Amino acid sequence: MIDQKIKIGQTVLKSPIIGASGCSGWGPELIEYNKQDIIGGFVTKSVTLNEKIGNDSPRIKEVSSGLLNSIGLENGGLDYFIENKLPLLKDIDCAKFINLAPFTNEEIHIMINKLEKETGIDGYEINISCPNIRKDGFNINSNVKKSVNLVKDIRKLTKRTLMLKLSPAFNESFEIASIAEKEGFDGITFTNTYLGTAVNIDTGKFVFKNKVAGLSGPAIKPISLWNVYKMANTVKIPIIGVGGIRTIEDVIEFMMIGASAVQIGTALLVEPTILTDISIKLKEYCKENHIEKIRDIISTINGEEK
Amino acid sequence: MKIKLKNSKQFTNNTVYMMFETEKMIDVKLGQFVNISIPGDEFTLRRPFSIVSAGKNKFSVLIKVIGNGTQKITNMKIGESIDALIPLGQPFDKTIDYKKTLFIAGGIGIAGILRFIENQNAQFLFGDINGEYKDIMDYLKIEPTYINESGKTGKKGFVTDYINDFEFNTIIACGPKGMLKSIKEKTDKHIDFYAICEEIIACGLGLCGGCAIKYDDGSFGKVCVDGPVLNGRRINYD
Ligand SMILES: Cc1cc2nc3c(=O)[nH]c(=O)nc-3n(C[C@H](O)[C@H](O)[C@H](O)COP(=O)(O)OP(=O)(O)OC[C@H]3O[C@@H](n4cnc5c(N)ncnc54)[C@H](O)[C@@H]3O)c2cc1C
Ligand SMILES: Cc1cc2nc3c(=O)[nH]c(=O)nc-3n(C[C@H](O)[C@H](O)[C@H](O)COP(=O)(O)O)c2cc1C
Ligand code: FES
Repeated sequence: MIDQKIKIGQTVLKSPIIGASGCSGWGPELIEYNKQDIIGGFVTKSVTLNEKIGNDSPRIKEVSSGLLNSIGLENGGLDYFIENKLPLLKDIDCAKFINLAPFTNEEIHIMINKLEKETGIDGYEINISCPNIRKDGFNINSNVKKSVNLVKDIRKLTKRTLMLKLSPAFNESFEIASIAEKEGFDGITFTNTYLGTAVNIDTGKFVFKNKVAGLSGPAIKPISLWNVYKMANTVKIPIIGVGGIRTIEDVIEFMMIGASAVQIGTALLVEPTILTDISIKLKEYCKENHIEKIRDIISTINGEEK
Repeated sequence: MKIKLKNSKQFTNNTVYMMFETEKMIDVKLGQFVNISIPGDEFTLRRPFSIVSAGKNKFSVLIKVIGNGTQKITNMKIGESIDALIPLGQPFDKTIDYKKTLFIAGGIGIAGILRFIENQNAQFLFGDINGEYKDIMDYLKIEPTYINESGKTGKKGFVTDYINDFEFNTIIACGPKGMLKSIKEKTDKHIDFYAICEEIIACGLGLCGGCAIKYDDGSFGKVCVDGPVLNGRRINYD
């Protein structure tokens, strides 16, 4: 019997494979294509305190081996989420993380306090790293002081699993991760998308109204892998590795270099059953390689277990 | 699921009619689409196409080659297989009174309309630039009221110049945004107007929000799960 379980904070994942925020819908859309008793879980689309309309189209541009997106955190706001989306998660039996995107400290406090009254939630992934808010791609994550203030008082609000999702675009992320670790966060989700853009050569203008967009997909995998390695040498709490993963080999690479679990985003948009497919392949991989516990491969690149 | 190319026919104007056999049974409703992988090893998004006809284990698409993806899909050889997600999108479930419905298509927008008018005595207004869809009409045995910008194979002008030649209380249309916008502006707001819409599709499943289409009130709909057939009067075409 191969043990695929991974523990992050209070949450035990049945497999280290998780659907990434923004590519997993609100959950039910993803579960329609995946087996909830096999996959690790999913992270919802980002929820903001107040409704966000999102950016004008185009929101997506395909590039070589990847995707630029400028969705702009479109969602109905926290109350809408609690009323309309959260009830649909109650019967889903895999780890369910709610991605929360605050603009201020006050907002994250209000959001967690409200959600603490609700059931059917395994944990929170706090996203301070969305590149699609300002025209320069900056956000709370680009400012250490603001980020530190934000992560400081969160632990006392909840016993649920707490993860912080950080951007690879700012070196500040490593310092912020260290502080989040000290403040009691259970994991670091790394990386969000990279800052990128595209020009429409017919009009001579930016393709996206917001100019900057987030780059994801296989194109970013080697860079994210390196970033996860650096992060693994920065913090001891689990890292949820993200960035361009689309094969079982990618998953093993991320885990060997330091990730305790992984999230899949862009590849999920193309192969909606990928979370199930890779979870099954991971079992086979373990069997073939005589690995009893999948967690035994975490950080083996350093010759040490994490 | 896997789909296998059974037959394909190339027309002038870089348009290809492709018939596929499906690995599993399908039940395709009016207005639905298919999201097809691009052949090859490269990592790419799938490409969405209207389903122009369908049976229990087969369906057809009409594809205009405009870029790399449509080129590679239409280059497939008979007998080759590829992965596809089918059927996707919200079924159009209103009852259609064909005597009172006007179907309008511009250019490759015909692909969105074909299944609606299949085996029906429908009022169909079609427009292109210079008669470049004539051979497709002949092949599919469709006789639309044909309008060209040049007047080569039909009446001269734009489809919207001829709307009032028909009697209808409903319009179902597919084509360029400019055409849909003009239909919205030139017809009475009491006429039901359904627009078959296009935006860039990534997942086609409601996972990503990439296919947002803007409504007049500033909110957005998702073409892939709310549409592709949407209330054409609510849409902001600018
Ligand atoms: C619901 C729906 C139904 C459609 N039905 C048909 C049809 O029946 N027949 C037909 O010929 N075409 C149809 N299209 C358009 C077709 O999907 C695009 O022409 C095709 O995706 C272009 O791919 P490409 O790689 O050849 O072009 P590219 O070289 O990739 O791009 C050229 C242009 O095509 C558009 N495009 C690119 N990728 C997509 C995408 N994933 N989704 C939508 N547009 C895209 C963009 O505007 C882009 O600028 C439909 C689109 C939608 C959304
Ligand atoms: C279309 C799209 C929407 C996304 N939306 C969000 C979001 O709302 N919140 C978030 O934290 N990350 C979002 N992301 C980032 C992904 O969760 C992930 O971190 C990133 O895409 C890298 O992983 P990938 O290469 O597997 O896609 C989005 C990514 C894409 C492609
Ligand atoms: S294309 Fe992803 S939600 Fe419509």
